[in-house]
Amino acid sequence: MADKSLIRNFCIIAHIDHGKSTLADRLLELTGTIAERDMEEQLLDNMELERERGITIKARAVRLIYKRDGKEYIFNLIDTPGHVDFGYEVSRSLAACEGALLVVDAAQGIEAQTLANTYLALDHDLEILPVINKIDLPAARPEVVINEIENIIGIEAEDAPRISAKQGTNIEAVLDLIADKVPAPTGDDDAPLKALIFDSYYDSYKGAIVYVRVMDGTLKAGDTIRFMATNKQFEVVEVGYLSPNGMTPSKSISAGEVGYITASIKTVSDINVGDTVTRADNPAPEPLPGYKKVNPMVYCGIYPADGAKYGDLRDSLEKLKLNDASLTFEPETSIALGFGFRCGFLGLLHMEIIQERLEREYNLDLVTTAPGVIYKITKTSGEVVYIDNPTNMPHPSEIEKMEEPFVEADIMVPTEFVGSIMELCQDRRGVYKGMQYIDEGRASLHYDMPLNEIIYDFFDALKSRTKGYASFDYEMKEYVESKLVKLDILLNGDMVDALSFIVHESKAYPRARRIAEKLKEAIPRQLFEVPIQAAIGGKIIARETVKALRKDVLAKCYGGDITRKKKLLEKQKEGKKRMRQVGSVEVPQEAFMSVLKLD
Amino acid sequence: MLGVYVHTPFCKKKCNYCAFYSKTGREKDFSKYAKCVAKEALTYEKQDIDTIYFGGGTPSLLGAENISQMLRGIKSAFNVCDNAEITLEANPKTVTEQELCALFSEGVNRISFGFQSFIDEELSALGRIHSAKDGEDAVKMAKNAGFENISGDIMTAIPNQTMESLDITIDKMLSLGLTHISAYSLTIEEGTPFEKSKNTLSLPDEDTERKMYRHLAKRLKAANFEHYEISNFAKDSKRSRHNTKYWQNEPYIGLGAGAHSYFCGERYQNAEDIDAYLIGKDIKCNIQKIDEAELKKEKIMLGLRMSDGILYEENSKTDKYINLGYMERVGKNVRLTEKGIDISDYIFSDLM
Repeated sequence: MADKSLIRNFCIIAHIDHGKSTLADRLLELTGTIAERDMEEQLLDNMELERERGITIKARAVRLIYKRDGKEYIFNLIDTPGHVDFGYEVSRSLAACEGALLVVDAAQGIEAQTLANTYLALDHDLEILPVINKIDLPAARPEVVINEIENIIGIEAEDAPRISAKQGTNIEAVLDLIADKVPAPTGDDDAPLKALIFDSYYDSYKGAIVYVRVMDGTLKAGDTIRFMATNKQFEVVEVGYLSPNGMTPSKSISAGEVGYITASIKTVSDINVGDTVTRADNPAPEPLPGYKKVNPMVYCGIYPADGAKYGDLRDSLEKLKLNDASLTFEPETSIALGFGFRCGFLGLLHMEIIQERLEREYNLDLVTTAPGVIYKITKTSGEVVYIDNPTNMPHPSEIEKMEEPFVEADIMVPTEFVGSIMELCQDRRGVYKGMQYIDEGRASLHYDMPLNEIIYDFFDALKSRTKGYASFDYEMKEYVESKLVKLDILLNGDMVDALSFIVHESKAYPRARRIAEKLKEAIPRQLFEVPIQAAIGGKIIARETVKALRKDVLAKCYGGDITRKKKLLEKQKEGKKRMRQVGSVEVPQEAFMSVLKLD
Repeated sequence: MLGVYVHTPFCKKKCNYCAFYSKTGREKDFSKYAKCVAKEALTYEKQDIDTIYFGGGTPSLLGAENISQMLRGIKSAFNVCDNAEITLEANPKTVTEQELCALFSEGVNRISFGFQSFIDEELSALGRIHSAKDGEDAVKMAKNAGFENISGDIMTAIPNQTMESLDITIDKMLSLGLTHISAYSLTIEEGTPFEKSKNTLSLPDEDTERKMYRHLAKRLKAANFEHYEISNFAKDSKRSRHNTKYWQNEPYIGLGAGAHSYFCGERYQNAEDIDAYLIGKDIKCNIQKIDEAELKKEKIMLGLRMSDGILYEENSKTDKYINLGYMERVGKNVRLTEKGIDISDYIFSDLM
């Protein structure tokens, strides 16, 4: 049994790209946890996609041994996802720690997620230890950044190590900082078991691997455990510690320690991050605080481009769900797109990641519909319904009122862009709440904004208006009554269900016009003229026309070269096959995608 | 019956729109090339042929002597029928009366001039080496040499072409007493000078282009030309017998670098490599066996090019096009209407 006074459970919090993963790599390297030759850049991010985007998608944990003055410290580094979509997972990872390294880029200073994550860590009473990274950059200004930390966050930062994780400069100071300043865990080894689940993933041989931080009690193989929220019981097959290359079995893990459990768990939905593991024969009287069921906030329809791949899509989603309990999906049918799934995501990034993984790892060609949020509708009958698919919106005459989710948004921008960003937020129906100057160069803007305006290319607009210098964070706030309408698209008089979406009344006209224009570009000419109409209820508010095909004739088959011409015609036929028949109109899948990005 | 096509991949200058395999500045290789063609002919078993077609490139550029040599080689390798159609493609600028006489006496009995236009500005825009007057003179010389079966190419959708200028070209073509006219609308092909400069070219829009084509077809028909294939018109039953083989899936042997063949149920091409050809390398490439399924596709995309059409077989797609006026039934056959010709590729690819 480990000496609790030598255990340090900590995480690293940072804004995207401030060097969190690189620092983690250096810590692993320096403690000899992993030999240098085995080092791959950013070892903790072991999904290909994570490496590419330089962000951590799913939390991971690793145990490091740090030897100093004849003592062996056990460092448990719990890596947290760096994005707002995974806020709940972040909060559970933080709950498993006593301290947090706050990594701030010496050139960029505090950013929106630096603040959001720091406040989250403070909420969990963690010891916050600032680290100034990237001092090797020519634009580094560590003293200015230290002042920012002290003034804005209000924590002591004068002694923060100035490091370069990339070049390996001064990493020892960080190790000392962890040993000296992160509080050792407390907890009673003999009390009834309470272990916090902060992550899980699926292994096809062992079943679910559950990552836990033991708060009280001791856990060993053979114990019958119970998950307190789902009330499911399992017999523990193996417990152990987390090494960078996998798992190291151990006899037991006890209060203050971080490790894993396997128990032949085949359904990952039995394991919820934030749930408390206890022993069935000697249960804790109440679970650890802070558990909640996370619900998706953003929904979209996902369809296979080739209808025959529906089964493949279902299998792939099921596989992804094994490691991602927050992904939801259920079958839906679209007249235009055939069989597919309505999928729910924690946020936009989460949605993009899932779509990309389906396409990349599972080789699927997808058609997705416009992302939407959950609207709350009170019917004239008094019944309240929540809808995540525009197709299910009741007829306007049956609607008493509609509400849409609002978020609190914090946007940090260089002061020269404040005007432009305020304009953008106003345009996206944001309600101004306030502004702070962080220093002479930067301001933090606070807005309440409708979520449905954010999921609709807000990030892109933000980036392009600030040359990429803005940072952004949001948190769900409340449902607010709103004048929303369902916009339908008709091709040659037939409604295309997959193109319908819900939009604020004030946005309906410009959006309708733009979509009609986009579709006109994306739909090839047909034998007849195809009117494209956008309508609210029965009222047409925008119209474009795809002119009838007048000419599709190429040069002769010269000198008997039939093959070349045949190939061209076969290619044309292939293209046609991939189109969707909507009523009498053939629509290429690109047309469905073209309406997703309108600017 | 079998036909023979000879590819002569040489030009004095590449035209701005042309993407076909052809090289310039190879005059020193002409006689060698002619010998190689004659030699290649001998690699095939002796059999009956009833059409020979010298295409290019610019076959006339090789001169009467070389062309005669190739022709003699073919005649010794195959049994050429008495009434065989022997065609030479010619650029008006490259012929003399004397040479035409020599070719006529050698057996060439059909000549196809690449006029494209009778407006000098349009000819220079296309990068042609001849003038409108060269075109007129060439026909006179051919007639003097004895040719009765003379074909001419005309092009629509040339940069800056107008309905008026098109009419001038048509007037001239009709006044020359041609028996056959091939009409093409300019298409911008990949890898051509026109493709590079397409943004600065003043090309007629789609509607104008179709208007020009229809106008041309109407005027040719009024002058007793039969619109027997999408791009071809013939007077006095003087259809191109050689090209008709292409559209009716009849076999042909291609000789020369880059030439295509359809022989013994296979389509193949000689490699587009003059140097390899000149040292006697026989490189057949792009070989494709034409099985039942392929043949069916080809019959649609080729047969429907002709006004004779293809045998009507009931199916919902064909019937749709008939109902919409893109196709029509004639006797046991079905064919494209004028409206259908405009979108023929769309229809072929759908029916194939």
